[in-house]
Amino acid sequence: MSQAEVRSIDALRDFRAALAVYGDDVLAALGAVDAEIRRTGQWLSQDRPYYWQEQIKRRRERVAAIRADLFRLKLQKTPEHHPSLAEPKERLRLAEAALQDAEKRLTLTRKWQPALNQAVLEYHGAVQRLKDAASIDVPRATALLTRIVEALEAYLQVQPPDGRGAGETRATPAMESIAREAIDHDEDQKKEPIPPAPKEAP
Amino acid sequence: MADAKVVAGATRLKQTVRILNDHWLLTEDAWSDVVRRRFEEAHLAPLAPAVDAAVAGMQKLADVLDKVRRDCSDRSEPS
Repeated sequence: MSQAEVRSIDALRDFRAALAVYGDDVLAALGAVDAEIRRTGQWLSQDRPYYWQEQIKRRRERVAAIRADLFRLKLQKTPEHHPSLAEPKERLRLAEAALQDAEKRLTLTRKWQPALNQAVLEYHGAVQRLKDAASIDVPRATALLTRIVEALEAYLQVQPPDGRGAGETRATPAMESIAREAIDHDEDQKKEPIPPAPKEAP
Repeated sequence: MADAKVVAGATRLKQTVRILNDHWLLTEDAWSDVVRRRFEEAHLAPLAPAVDAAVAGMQKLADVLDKVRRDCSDRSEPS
């Protein structure tokens, strides 16, 4: 077996391994994004509505309590006694702002649920081609390279190479014909029409 | 700032396709015939536009996820 031919097959074998790793990497990257989508979707649809409803309840109670404090302080007001209302008024302002923020965020939570679903649908549309490539096309290409490598190896076992120089890297015509045959077979398989559904009995 | 995990996924896709292309170029000296070109056209050329579309989709999704987090989080909430 000449150096040239071994290098040729090794290069194919190495690339086949790289292609298989590529397919796995793509599916892993897409899987990680899917996990993030699920995590955020669950957080938005289950955790957030409950959280903000609870916050609104608590913040309303807090506003009510501060208003009651303020009311009591106003009642304590006499010509001789002037309790400062600045501090409770500031607390009331902050509590009301916090309540408004919680109400706004509950509204946003509800608004985001269908919007996130739509964004996820668009995302799935954008990655579908790559997903198909990684899960269908890449394994197919890897299998094709395996067939080419196996056919070339089998050929070299029965047909000793002609001992070309170590720098020669081109495959022999016979090897090319083997590779061509494998790729033709693969392309024919791709073109094969889907068989028609069996006709129903009259 | 876009969702870090999704951005990382997009970066990974770009890196992996670059690595695959580098591996493919390494086979050029050992395999340079019409079969190689047909293999490239049928199985490798479609990957680049598919990756571009996926990366664009991921970047858009990353922005949306980040906005969801910001809009629906409580700044006072322990993370």
